[in-house]
Amino acid sequence: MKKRLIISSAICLAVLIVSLYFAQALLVPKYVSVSPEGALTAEYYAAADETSHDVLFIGDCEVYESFVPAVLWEKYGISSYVRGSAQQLVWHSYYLLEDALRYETPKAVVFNVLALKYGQPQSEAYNRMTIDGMEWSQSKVDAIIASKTEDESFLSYVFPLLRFHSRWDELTGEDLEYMLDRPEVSDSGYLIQTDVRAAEPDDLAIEGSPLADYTLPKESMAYLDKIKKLCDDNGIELILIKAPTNSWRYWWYDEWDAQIVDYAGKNGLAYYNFIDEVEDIGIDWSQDTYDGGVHLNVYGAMKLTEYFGKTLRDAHGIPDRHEDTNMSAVWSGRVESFYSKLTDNIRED
Amino acid sequence: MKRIISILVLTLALALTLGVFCGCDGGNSDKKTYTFNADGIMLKIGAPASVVNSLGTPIAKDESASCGGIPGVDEVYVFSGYKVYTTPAKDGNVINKIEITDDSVKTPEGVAAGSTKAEVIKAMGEPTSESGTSLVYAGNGMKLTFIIRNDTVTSIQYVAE
Repeated sequence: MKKRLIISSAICLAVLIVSLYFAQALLVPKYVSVSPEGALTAEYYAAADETSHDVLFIGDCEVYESFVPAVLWEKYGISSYVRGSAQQLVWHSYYLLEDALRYETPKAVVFNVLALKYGQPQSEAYNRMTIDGMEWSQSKVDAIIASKTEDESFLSYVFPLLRFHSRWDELTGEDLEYMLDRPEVSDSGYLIQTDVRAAEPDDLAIEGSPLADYTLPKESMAYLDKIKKLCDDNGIELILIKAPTNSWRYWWYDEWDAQIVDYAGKNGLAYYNFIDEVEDIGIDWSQDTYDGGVHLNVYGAMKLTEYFGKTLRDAHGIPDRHEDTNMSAVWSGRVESFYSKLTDNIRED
Repeated sequence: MKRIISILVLTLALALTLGVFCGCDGGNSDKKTYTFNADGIMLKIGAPASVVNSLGTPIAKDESASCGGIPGVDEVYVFSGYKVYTTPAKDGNVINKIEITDDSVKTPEGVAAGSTKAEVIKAMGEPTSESGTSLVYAGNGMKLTFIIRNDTVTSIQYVAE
C-alpha cells in the first residue's frame, strides 16, 4: 500500500514537472519573427562550440546592426562574433563577456560606448532579451542581480513561467512551431536589415536636447573599469568604439565623447568614434540606414565592417585565419548563410 | 474591560479618520502642473499627442522605433523656438517632453532662454532642487528644468517623470 502511494506520488510529480516544462516552453517569447533581438544571446553558444573568435563585439543595437562578421572573414580572414543585444547596458556587456570567456579568449574585445550613458537598470523587456538566453553560470546569476529592475524577481529568471504565464492570450502559431527548437535568426550575432528608410537632412539636423549634467554615470564607468580589468587579466585588448549613427533619440554628446577620449588616453586604449568618420567610411544616409538614421542597414554595416576590418588588421594585429582549414570550413558555411539570408531578405522586400 | 474596549474603538476610529484625511492628499495632487503655451494652445506633459496637430506644420518631424521590436514609435516635432516629443502609452502616444530652444519663446511665467538665474527664481519661486547647472521645479508627474550656464538659462525642458 505504502509502495503504491510512493509510486503514485512520483508519477504525479513527474507529470506535474513535465507539464510545467511544456507550459514554459510554450509560453516564453520565441523571438523569431517578432523581436528577434531577444534570440541573440542564446545563439552565441553553438557558434562558440563551432570555432573560436579573435574579435568579440559587445554592446547594444549599435554593434549587432553595425558589424557583419561574415564580411570581416571574407575581406580579412578575421574570425569574430557580435555578442550584442537590444539596449545592452554596460553591466550586461560585462557579464556577457565574462560568460564568453568560459568558452574562448579572443584577442580583442570591441565595446560600443553609447550604453555608458545609463547608470541604472532601465527596462524589464530589455533585461529579458539579454539575460534569458544566457546559459546558467555565476555570470548569469550576477547579471540578473545587477540588472533587475524593482519590479523583477530573481526567481522569475530561474522559472520564466512565473513571468510569462499570462501570455496565453498572445500565443501565435510561432509559439507552437518553435516551442522546442528555434531557427537561427542572426549571422554570428549580426541581425540583417535590408530596408532602406533614408535619413532626411531635416532629421539629421535634430540634435539631442541639452543636458544639465554631462557627467557619465559613475556606475556605468565602474563597469567599464571592470571590463578593462577582465580584458587585462585575460590578455585581451579592449577597443572602444562609437557607431557612426547619431540620431536625436540616441544622441552622442561631445561632452560624453571627451570623457571617453580622456578615459581611453589614461588607460592606453584605442577609441574610434565613427561619427567623425562617416565620409571616409562612405556612409550614404539616403541609402545606408533602415530607420531614418538611427541604425545602419546591411549596406551601411558592410561598409563600416570593411572599413574597421582594415583597422583591426593593421592597427591591432588581428590575424588572417584563411589558412586555418578547420576555421575556413566553418566560416565558409557562415558566409554562405549570410549571403543566402541577405538574398532572401532582399527578395521579401 | 468596557473602558479598555472603548479606548481601543476610539483609537481605531481616530486612526481611520486620520488615515482618510491624510490619504486624500493623493500623493502628487498638491503639486503644480506646469504647462507650456504654444501660440495660445496649452501643452502639458501626458496630454495625447494628437494635440500637436493643432500647432500647425512643424519645421521638422521625425519618428524612431525602439530597438528590440518594442511596439510603438517615439516622435519629435520641431517648431520655431520649441520642440515637442511624444512617446507610446497605453492609448496611443502622449507628450513626454517639451523643450524651449531659443529666446523667441517664453514659459507662461515669463522665463526665456537668456533669462538669469535670479529672474527664474523671481518668476517661478524657489526651485524644488538646484544644482550648479540647473533649477528643477517638480510638478505633478513631471518636472520643469531650467538649464543654466554662466548664470543664464540655456534650455528649458518640461519632462515626464
